[in-house]
Amino acid sequence: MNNTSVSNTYDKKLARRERVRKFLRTMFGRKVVIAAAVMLFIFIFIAVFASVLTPYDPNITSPYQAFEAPSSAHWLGCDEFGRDVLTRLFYGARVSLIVGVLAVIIACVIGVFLGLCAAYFGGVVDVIIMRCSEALMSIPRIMVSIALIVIIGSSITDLAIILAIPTIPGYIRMIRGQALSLKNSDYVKAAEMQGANSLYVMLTQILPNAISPIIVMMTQQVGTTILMESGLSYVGIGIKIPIASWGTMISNGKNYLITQPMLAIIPGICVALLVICLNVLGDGVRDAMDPRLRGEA
Amino acid sequence: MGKYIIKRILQMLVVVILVAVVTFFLTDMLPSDPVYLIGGDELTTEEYDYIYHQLGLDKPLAERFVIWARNALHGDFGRSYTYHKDVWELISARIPVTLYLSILSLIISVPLGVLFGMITALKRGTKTDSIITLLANVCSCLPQFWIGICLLVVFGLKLRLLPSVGFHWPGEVGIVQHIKELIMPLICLSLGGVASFTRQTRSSMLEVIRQDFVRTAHSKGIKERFVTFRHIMRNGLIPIITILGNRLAYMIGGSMFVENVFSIPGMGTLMVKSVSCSDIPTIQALVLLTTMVSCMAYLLTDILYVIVDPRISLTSDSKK
Amino acid sequence: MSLLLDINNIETCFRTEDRVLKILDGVTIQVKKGEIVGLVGESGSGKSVTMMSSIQLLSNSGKVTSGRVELDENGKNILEYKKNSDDMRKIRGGRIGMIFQEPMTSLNPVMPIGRQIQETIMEHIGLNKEEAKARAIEMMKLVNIPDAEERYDNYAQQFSGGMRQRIMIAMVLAAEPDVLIADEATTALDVTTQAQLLEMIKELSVKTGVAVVLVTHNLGIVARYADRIYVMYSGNVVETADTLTIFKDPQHPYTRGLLNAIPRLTDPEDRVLTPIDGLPPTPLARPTYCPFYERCNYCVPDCAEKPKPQLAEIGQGHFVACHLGRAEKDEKAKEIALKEGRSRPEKHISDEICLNVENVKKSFDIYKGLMQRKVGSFNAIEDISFNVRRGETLGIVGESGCGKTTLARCILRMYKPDGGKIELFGKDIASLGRSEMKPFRSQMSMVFQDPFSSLNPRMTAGDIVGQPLRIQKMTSSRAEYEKRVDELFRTVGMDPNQKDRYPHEFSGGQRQRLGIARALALKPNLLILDEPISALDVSIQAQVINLLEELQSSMGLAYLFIAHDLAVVKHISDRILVMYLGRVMEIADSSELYENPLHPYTKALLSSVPLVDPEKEIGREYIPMKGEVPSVMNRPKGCPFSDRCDHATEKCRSTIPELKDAGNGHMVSCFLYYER
Repeated sequence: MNNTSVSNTYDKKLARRERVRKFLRTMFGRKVVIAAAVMLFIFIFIAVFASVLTPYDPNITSPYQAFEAPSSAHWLGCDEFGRDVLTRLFYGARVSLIVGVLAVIIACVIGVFLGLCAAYFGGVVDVIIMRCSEALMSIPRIMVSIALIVIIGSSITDLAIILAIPTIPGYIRMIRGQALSLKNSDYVKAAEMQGANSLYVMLTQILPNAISPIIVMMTQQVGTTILMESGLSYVGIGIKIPIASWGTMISNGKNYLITQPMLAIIPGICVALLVICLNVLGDGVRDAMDPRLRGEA
Repeated sequence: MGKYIIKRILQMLVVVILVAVVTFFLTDMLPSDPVYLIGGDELTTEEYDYIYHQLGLDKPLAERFVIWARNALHGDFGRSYTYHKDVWELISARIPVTLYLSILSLIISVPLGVLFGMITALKRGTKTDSIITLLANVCSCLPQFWIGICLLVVFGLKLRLLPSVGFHWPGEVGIVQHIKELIMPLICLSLGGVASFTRQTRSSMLEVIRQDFVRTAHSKGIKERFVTFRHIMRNGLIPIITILGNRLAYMIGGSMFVENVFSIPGMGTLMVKSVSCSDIPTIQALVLLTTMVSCMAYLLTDILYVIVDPRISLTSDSKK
Repeated sequence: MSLLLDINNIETCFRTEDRVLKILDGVTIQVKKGEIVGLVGESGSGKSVTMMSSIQLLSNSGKVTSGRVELDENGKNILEYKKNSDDMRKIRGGRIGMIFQEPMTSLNPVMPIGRQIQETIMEHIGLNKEEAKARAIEMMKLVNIPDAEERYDNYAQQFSGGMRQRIMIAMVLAAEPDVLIADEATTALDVTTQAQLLEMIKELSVKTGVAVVLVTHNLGIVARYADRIYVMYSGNVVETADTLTIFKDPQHPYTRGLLNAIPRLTDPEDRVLTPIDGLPPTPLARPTYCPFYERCNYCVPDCAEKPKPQLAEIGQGHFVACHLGRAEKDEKAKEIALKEGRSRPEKHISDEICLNVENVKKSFDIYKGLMQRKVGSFNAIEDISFNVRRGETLGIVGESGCGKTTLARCILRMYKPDGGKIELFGKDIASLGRSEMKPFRSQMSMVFQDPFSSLNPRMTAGDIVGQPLRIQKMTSSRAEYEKRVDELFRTVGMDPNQKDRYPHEFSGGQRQRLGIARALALKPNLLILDEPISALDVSIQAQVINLLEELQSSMGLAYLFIAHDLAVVKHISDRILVMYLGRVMEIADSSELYENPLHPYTKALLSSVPLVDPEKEIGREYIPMKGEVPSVMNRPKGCPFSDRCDHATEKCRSTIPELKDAGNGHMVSCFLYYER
């Protein structure tokens, strides 16, 4: 008896390891995905250790160094206030990543909760939730965010909340649709016939099976959110000026386009690179989660 | 079919009303007092009360909403706090600019995107496919305003081929100058659109290519181009219609960034300005109007969808 | 008769991401002018791929790597033509037409069906638009589509499945081909519709001289309609002969195995099904020796030494791919018969009524419009009455939409019936509330049709089987729980060590065993089996049927066996209930029902089922069923069958006949019998 249980647990671990391996193998099947993962890791590393990686402070101005050309001390030169560009890029990565990830987590948590409520309770609750999310979806996404900036503010966490809100309906619709279709699947019917209550069914049968498209959606949303954040910061209503963010850097650099075009262009390259990495990785996750979605190669 | 459209119009009305209610309450959700926003920080009590009364803030909430809604229906959104002008006057000069740019860029990006999408889907697995797909993926990751800045540096400042800022109607500066002014903003606005239409068309076409009825068409031995045009394309393009409205709404919102780069006096610039100054009446009007415009866009795509896809009207018929 | 289509030793490979799968391993098939050829085999045996390879209809990942396909013995290998070249297109569609399994998705949903027929005609016959349209309408009439002119502009989704298959046939025949390939064309349809279509194909074949290739897994269909049969296994043809010979004198062990595994309408009551153990090899694991070796009862060790056996002629047109001679096999067959000698597990039917259903009905509301107002309702089932005794099997047959599943759900109280009694050992559960119902949940459970969708893909097999125990908190300790789950695994013949695997790691038959184990977890008295074997391959079906019979014998279970396959129902059931449009038509002992059907609907239904015995098919009467299965939404006012019945009178159309005993416990609801 003992023996079998030992072999069972061993088997279980092995099987789980095998599944994880298979997942990673499909996910990182293409070299691009590996490259993207490495890049993203570098971005995260920089964001976390920004203060250790550079001797400079992103906000202290030193006017006599203004527009200094790239040198061994300042690899990418200095901006109009003599701040080290590379240092500010490092800190900018931190802002972008925090806003992007936080916004997606907020949107996902609220969206999944409301979506499950809509599917679980049905009736009036469903109608209210769905009508409200339809209304939210018919306003252009940026307009929602901007109107919210007026009310909520524009600190980093505020921005995360603001950028999260317009994406919530997407999660609601997806999880509700999944839940409603899974509700009719035979295994859910089986659990109901055995006398399981709806909450049990929702949490043990439906949620685990509805989660993978949500994860795919999340990975794809991080990039879009980062694009939005940089845009808002660029036009001056996102992250406010002294804080280093890629958007504000582009905005500042725009004033010196004729003499110092790189000041505006380099942070843009960072945004683009980070978003590309995230999207490629998102595609990788999608391929691994659901092979059917994969584009025919 | 008529029923379906009426249903959609009613749903749209509900949405607009809901949005109107929410935007109206913006004033009350504001962290700062609107009276100070108008009159500045140092007001005497009399001045304060005067503005307070002028704004109608002494009336009950419901009454204020009714008054506001009635005025809004007549195009009267009140006076801008910052410009000290009628909001409608401010907006009406700017709506055409933004709409003009958005619609033009939609007109550019749909055919191009659909074309690229079809090429990649039909030539899937070839070099052409991977190059176009790669470009589309990269383009959809680039920040619009940054593309604008790059274009500005290259064509406006270094090569001096195109005017770097401003927007004027052809009547003011002549058609040639007008087109020159349009080129860069349109590229910015359209690049993402082309990329996203390419991606969507590709995946939708690939979805159709796998369908059984395409196999049936092949099994009938009809010419390859008939299979492509009559069977694959028609089915593959229908889903694209649904994202047209979505895209137009996105472009109207996104024009803000491009307008900022090229100093174009459109709704976007106005929006940014009013947000930085908490100019509530202008924000209310802009949010409401953009919502209405995008709702109209959604409605139009719905109508188009019903016309193109026989399945919609069939299902509503069968319910009779 | 001259050779028309000659598929000679073709090999087809499919490329997947990391490997190449050889799906066809040298297949040879010949079709003569005007004959009907049957191509049978289990799923994955390569029968569809064979036919699609021959007309170059494979998807891009598939490729014919060797072999020839010739038409008219003209020496020209048509595989040499480019896939979409003019020459190939003239053959594909022009000379060889094909219809497919899924009627719902095989027609273009946004192109009127008439246009789709017209398109074929213009391509291959060279008529102009007007002429082609006229001919398209003519073709629609030929396949019995009512109001062909008006329906020319309709879209596919405005037709039923059977009608869509007719349209497909019209479309293919419009090009006047010499060969019609029907790839499982009737599998997705009801028995009566299936019979209507196949009869029509047979007639058209006689009328127009078109040769037909029936690709199917259903041995009954080929027995009834085919002139010659090819049996395929794992990408090889293992046996071919004329239909009579295949069924009377099968020589390949696989053919014999298949015939021993399937139940027939004509079976004696004590017939035992002999399943073929194991699974067919995957294309990757296909050995170089005989592919059937691992599952073969007849094999000798030598078989694994020799290369794959080739088809050899052992009689007039009878080819077999087996190393063993007739004498060797006959010797072995006797041995096997002695060794097996199994008899059916004993039935213990007691007099105690397990389930008693009286006048149960259930209606559904129709909602419509913006506010989702209720605008009407329809009765899905009406006045259903029957009972099941402990240890007994009651079969429920009927076509899709007849209310079988609604009935099952009412009994399981997934739905609350609108009226009537449902008594479980004498206690009426029809109107119990959720919590009152809970103690009764353990007394009955259900096994589902689809072994793929009925198991939660995110749970391990052990968790799935043990789930009812956890929900009902039946076990007091972890150890007791584990012990019970292990026991359940063994009960259904599975190894408890597989508890930690996930559903996708099991085969279809194993999953269905898991489904049965789960249903048994609470030690129920009544098991409702909703089409439990129809998603499984023939050789696996027998395993599951035998398991069910053993379980019933050892545990005294009562079964409610819902199915559309009448032969299977006949085999497993003690009594059978026939449903039509939500009402009971007839209830009788199974042998009585088959020998002496009373209701005109039952008669028509039985005559639609092909027997797996070509000899008995000769001269057998087919009672064609008029029209299509109507929906319960517009059920006729009187007897639901009255508008399709040949014997219907005025009375039948206005009043509903009651279910009455016509003697001998044979219940029927038809005026023909109690008006005498």
